[in-house]
Amino acid sequence: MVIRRIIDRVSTAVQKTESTAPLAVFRIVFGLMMLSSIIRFWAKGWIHELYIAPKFYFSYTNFEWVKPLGDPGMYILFALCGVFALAIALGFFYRFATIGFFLTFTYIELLDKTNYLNHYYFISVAALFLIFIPANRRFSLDIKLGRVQQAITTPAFYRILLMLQLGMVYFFAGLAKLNSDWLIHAQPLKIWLKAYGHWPVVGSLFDSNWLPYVFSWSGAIYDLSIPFFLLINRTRPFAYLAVIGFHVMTAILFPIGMFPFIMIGATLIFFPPVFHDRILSILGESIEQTVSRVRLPSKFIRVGLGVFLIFQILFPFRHFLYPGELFWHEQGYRFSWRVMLMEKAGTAFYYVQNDEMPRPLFVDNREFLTPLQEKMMSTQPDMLVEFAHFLKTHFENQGVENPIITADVYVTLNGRQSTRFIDNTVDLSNVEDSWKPKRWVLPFDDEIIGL
Amino acid sequence: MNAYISLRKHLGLMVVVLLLVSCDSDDSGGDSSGNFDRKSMLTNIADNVIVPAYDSLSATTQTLLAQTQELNFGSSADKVENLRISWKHALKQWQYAALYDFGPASDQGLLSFFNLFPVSTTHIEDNIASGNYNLETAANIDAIGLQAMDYLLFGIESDAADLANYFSENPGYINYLIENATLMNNKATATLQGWTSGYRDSFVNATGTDIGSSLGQLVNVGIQYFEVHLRDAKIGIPAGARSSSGTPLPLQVEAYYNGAVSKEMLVNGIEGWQNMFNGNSRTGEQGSGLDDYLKFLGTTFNGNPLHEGINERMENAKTQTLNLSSDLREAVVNQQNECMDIFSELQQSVVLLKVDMTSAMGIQITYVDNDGD
Repeated sequence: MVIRRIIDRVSTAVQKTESTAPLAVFRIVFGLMMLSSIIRFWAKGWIHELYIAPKFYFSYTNFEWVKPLGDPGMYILFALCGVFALAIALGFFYRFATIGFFLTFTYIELLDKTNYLNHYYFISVAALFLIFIPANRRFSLDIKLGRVQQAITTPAFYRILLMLQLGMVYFFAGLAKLNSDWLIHAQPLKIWLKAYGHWPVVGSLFDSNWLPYVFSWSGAIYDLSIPFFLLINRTRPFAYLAVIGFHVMTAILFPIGMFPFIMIGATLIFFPPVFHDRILSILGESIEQTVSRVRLPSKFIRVGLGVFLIFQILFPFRHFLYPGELFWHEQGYRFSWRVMLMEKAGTAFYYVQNDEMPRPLFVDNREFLTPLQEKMMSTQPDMLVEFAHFLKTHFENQGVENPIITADVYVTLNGRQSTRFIDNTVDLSNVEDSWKPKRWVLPFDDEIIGL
Repeated sequence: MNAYISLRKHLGLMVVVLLLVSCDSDDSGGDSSGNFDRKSMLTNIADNVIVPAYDSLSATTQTLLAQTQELNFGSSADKVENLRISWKHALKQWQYAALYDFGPASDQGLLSFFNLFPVSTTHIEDNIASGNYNLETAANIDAIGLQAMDYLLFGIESDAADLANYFSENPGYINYLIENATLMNNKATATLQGWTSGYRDSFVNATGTDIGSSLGQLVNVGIQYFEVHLRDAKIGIPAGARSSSGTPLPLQVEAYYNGAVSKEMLVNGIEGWQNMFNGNSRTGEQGSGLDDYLKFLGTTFNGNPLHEGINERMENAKTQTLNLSSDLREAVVNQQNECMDIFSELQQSVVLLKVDMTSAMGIQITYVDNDGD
């Protein structure tokens, strides 16, 4: 009965007719942000540094076929991605552009685990949604060219979908902060904020031991509550000021690139449709008399999107299926909106040995990995295994028969002293990276209480 | 009850209350009252450690240049002896100046021009025979610097008088020595000038911890130098740690042809690193260094301050090196296990430096964006 009623209420809410303007504004903001992200990425030389220079890439399971395209292939791929982003902003061949953007962007992100960022995952998800959201029915080149008819109204479905997704990013980021390191020890902020002790006037605050607590607690409260405050009419203006304040602060304090600005732009979707109508009219949109209206997507797509949303709600909790401390073994860490949660560093010494060698060979990781790859690998078990597999093949090609690959890895987490991370007697080249618990990761010798 | 509800309504107040509670249970060992002056640390490291190191280096290369030029006016056993002594002195000064491979030093390419080894003796001989070379080109990277001098001064004739005669009969060698000394002197002088005319000021003022900051560079570049040029080049590779045969490679030892200084240079190299870390001058005056910053942060390892742990590891490595019964050229063969122990000791130092120290300081290792919220 209750479920029936909820379904009824949801279906009434998503069918409620409203303006198409929020979708168009979101489309424009998203497209322009993505275009500038790509230009920035290119200008900083990261295409070469991250996707052309490395000799080895850490693939995702089942996506090993995603390979870098070299020079100029990678530049062409980024250029295409940028063109698609611009086309999305302009509403030009919109459906094709959203598919193109989703595929090129996701392809790039799947190239190397080293570069995994939650906000890239968010962009892929948002791009996937845009494929099914007809956001080109207002203020677009497609209308000008007569490719689609202008439509003034739409079911609220599409806007609710985007708000749900954004709200989830915040809420899960907040849930992840509910742990003893973050709340009781103010780690890792206690480490990170000390970096600003040299600032004039406010420097001594950053060296203090209480400011990290203020930041930790207000960060957690912000993440958990902001989606709700953004939903309520009365609190929305203040909440949006908080969004701006919070993200500008993180942009100043941490090297997190475009992400704060993407969130500031994307959360505009929480404002009521009339607000977006005003934006479009300021931009000079002309409304024609039209009878066309946006419809709900087909039932098949609605169910698909619903299932995907449920998947996203459940997936971040998969770590409960693994024994031990999530922050330590990181099984179930990615794709769960755990952002800026840990100060984790490590170093990995690999050894190659076989029956004929009088002593193990000490691998020089630098020969194969970039400093960033080495750093990321040293704290993430699945990457440690991937590199061991690579080394096995490499040394077999060098004529070392049946090499055994072991590693001495030391890791520190949130200011604890470094300790041995994995069993250094296990032949990592014989370990398959799978969903099964990685028993060879040594237990964390402390406790972090929380989600 | 009402009070409770109003407390719930006032999240800000709640934060403050919880804050007070949490502060009580604060268990970090950090010195909460003080605040650390990174600028004075950088000033000390610049003025009392780095600049003096480049000062000594450029003074010794000047001597090397003058003494090689002196050979043009007739070489003698005395002149060769003096040159050999100056060469050793220069190599020693290098150990204290090598690790600052950023700013002027990296602009000048100091690391590649001064002391890469092993050198290719055939390449050196070919250059001298042809008389047609530009030592500053990348192609000559294995035929220059203090290690090329090692070969020319110790690898041709051991007796000084014999070598003096050899030089007289083959003036091409003298030219090569002069060209090589000129190159090193130019590079060392330009680096020193870079520091004294401007870079020093921007160095002491870049007080952040991001990768472009001075602390970020000291830590990132310093650790890379420690791994590549100390641990690997000076002991690991010659001891066979990186080869699949596992056999020692004495030809890879620093100053192979001299054959008597490599032990000392490894010890000096570690000491040079410690000088930066501890903010100590060559005359032993203690100043503000990374150790003091770690002290301020309250970082511990096995219950002791981390900086003590780091110094202890390095002292161990130095003692083990001095305890080898011969110079590294023989030791890597005759005492391979002892050499591997030194390598392991340095390996453990890397853990403390790269993992514990870097993390405690919140130093970034890369420009690339990190995850944010």
